Amino acid sequence: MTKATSSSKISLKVRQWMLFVAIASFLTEMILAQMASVLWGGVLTKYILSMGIFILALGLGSLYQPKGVAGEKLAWQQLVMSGMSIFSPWLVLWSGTHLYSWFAKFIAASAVFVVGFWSGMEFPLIASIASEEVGADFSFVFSELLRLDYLGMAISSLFFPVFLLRNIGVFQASFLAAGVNLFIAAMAFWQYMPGFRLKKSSFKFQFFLVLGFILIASGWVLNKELISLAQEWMIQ
Amino acid sequence: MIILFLISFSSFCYQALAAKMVYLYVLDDTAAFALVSSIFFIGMSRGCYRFLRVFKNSSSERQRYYLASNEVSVVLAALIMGSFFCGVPLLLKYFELHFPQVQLETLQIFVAVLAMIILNRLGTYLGLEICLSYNYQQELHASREKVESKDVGFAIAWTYLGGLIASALCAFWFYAQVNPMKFVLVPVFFNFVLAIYFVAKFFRQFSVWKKLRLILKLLFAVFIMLRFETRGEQLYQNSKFFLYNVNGVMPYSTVLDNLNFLKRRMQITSVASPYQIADWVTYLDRPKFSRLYLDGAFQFDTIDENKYHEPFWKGGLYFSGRTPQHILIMGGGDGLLAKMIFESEATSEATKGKITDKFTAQVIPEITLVELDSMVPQLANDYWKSSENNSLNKVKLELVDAFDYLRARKNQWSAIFLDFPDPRSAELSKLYSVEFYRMVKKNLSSDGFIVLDYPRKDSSKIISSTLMAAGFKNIIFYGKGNTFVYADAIDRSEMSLASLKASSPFFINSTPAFDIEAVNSIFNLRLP
Repeated sequence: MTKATSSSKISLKVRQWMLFVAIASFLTEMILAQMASVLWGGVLTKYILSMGIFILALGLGSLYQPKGVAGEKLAWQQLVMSGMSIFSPWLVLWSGTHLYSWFAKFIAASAVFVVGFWSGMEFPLIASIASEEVGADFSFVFSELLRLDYLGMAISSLFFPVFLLRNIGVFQASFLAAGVNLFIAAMAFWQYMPGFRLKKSSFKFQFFLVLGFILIASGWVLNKELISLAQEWMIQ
Repeated sequence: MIILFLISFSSFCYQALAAKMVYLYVLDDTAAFALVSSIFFIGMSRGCYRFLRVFKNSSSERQRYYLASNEVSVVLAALIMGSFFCGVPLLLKYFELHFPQVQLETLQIFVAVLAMIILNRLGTYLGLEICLSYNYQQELHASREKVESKDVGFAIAWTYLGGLIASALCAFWFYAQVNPMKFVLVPVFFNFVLAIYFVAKFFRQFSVWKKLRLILKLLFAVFIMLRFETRGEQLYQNSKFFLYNVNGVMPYSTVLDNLNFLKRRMQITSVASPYQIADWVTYLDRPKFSRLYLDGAFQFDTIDENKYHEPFWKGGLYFSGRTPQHILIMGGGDGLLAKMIFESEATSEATKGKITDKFTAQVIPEITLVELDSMVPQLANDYWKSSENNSLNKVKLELVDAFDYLRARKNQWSAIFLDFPDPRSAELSKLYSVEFYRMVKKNLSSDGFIVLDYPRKDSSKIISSTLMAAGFKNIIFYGKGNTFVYADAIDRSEMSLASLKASSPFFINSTPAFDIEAVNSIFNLRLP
């Protein structure tokens, strides 16, 4: 393994993954925070608390080390993350509107925690893929990916409240985040699982991949109906 | 890892404090948080990029020098940011006085750009510091052949933990203070300790010239820190004199003279709650004239508050044609609308005797008042008790979020008055949403009505469409200056409604047609 030099570069593909993964994760975080703030009062403290739980879970998730090839793990991680982006806002909404008091908040906080934990695995996995390309240059990998992570956060934090929330709403924004996760899952699958394609579990992956795309497309088209359903839950 | 934790902690603190201050000045927390976060993150990203381009392949001695020097730069930039945000109005006034030929809007844009540069710069220093710290950690593990994801995981975990603690501290402690920015000294202290640690650790490795530069920079940071500690609070409080100067008179040519002039004429008392900062301003040269500001936004003054609350209440009486007995007031924690209701008589001039059920002292309505912030009724008791005539003692006071309160109930109020702040944030926007109005309607009797203060002329289409989508049939926009909306779901003919409007003692504004795209939903915001 060669030590990285100034000419070492993380490939454009991996850098794009990092950027888009950061955008999607932070977007999901803000969607959940928005949902929690809608459900539990006009209180800034509660909004920040949900962010806090998410951040804590991100930290713990980044410590968890799934075994296996990083690229394959990333593909599965992104596939599951995509499902979480779609369903977690609904779980928070459902618990907030159908369950009472502390139990609803517990369920919602758990949902926020699980999503945070899962999305916390992204950075180390992508760092691991990047290190395959550039070698043992810790600070180079860390700095380059952190740069893109911050850039992704900047894009999400600007576009969600200013553009997405006003123009497409919470649910389409969650489908957008899920779409980004799913796209990266498909890319990682294509790139890192050539041998894996013939295995039995590969069909399971492809099945969920297709199902994910169908869910996202349907959800996008049926946005108005979904909003009506959410409104029914809110005022029942 | 402790270093990464502290840098991350401080960066989240700076970001959150700056966002709060921007919100207090521009009164839109969505824009404030979005702008501050994105500018800050771009700065951090730029810091990482700078590390890769400038420092990554430089000598170890140079990297260590910049690790120490950049940490002091973080301290200085944070203090500059703190001072800047505490004194923005003073700075603006200075520019106004010294550059009278430049338009105020241009000066405001200039100050906003200045704020962005400071924030971006601070973010850059922090991003660079994180990378330099991680690079230093790498030197300690130089024998490794490959990046282990657990190493990155630990680094990221500590970084996020710092963020978590910072966000909790900001939410529960810093934000509930009259001047949140004074707490910039907390993260600054940690950055300063780190700077001292780096300087002490690598001091022997630096050349004399670099040692001298570092010591001078540190001494300068100590000087600025002490200045901010003693003057920061005062700087922010002084800025408020310019913000709340109602007549705009500035007889002197310097900021300091004008400040002293205003201080002789105004007295500002500030109180904070976890939700907002209240400023009670007394104008010493105008007896009995005081104003309340919440988070910098004007709420009422003691002389003209009647001009707001009278049409609010009497419009409801006039357009409904009855005096409600079970009244719910949401958001009127100042007690002034309740006072108006208790003092009102149906035969007043504004209603011109058209109300059939006469409202007299014998028919005292039951009023429930829902207010989120316990500080507001407390302020009412402390500062404008004579003005609100102890009305808060006569109502059933519920200290709870309006949205939560209605969701948990199904009552039959005969009137609901919505006296909320303008929807200047996503949080407040939900109180103008179709979901909220549906819950309001669910809690109304079949002949009940609602009245709300609608924020801006350009929001009338959104308010009207949202009320219609919630099931309200008769919607009347009325009032000049102070504008209100009356709505009910009673079956009325077009003709009777038109005649009611024609003979109205209130100025009638047109009701915009229904537009489904303009409906404000908590899931698809149209306001602010």
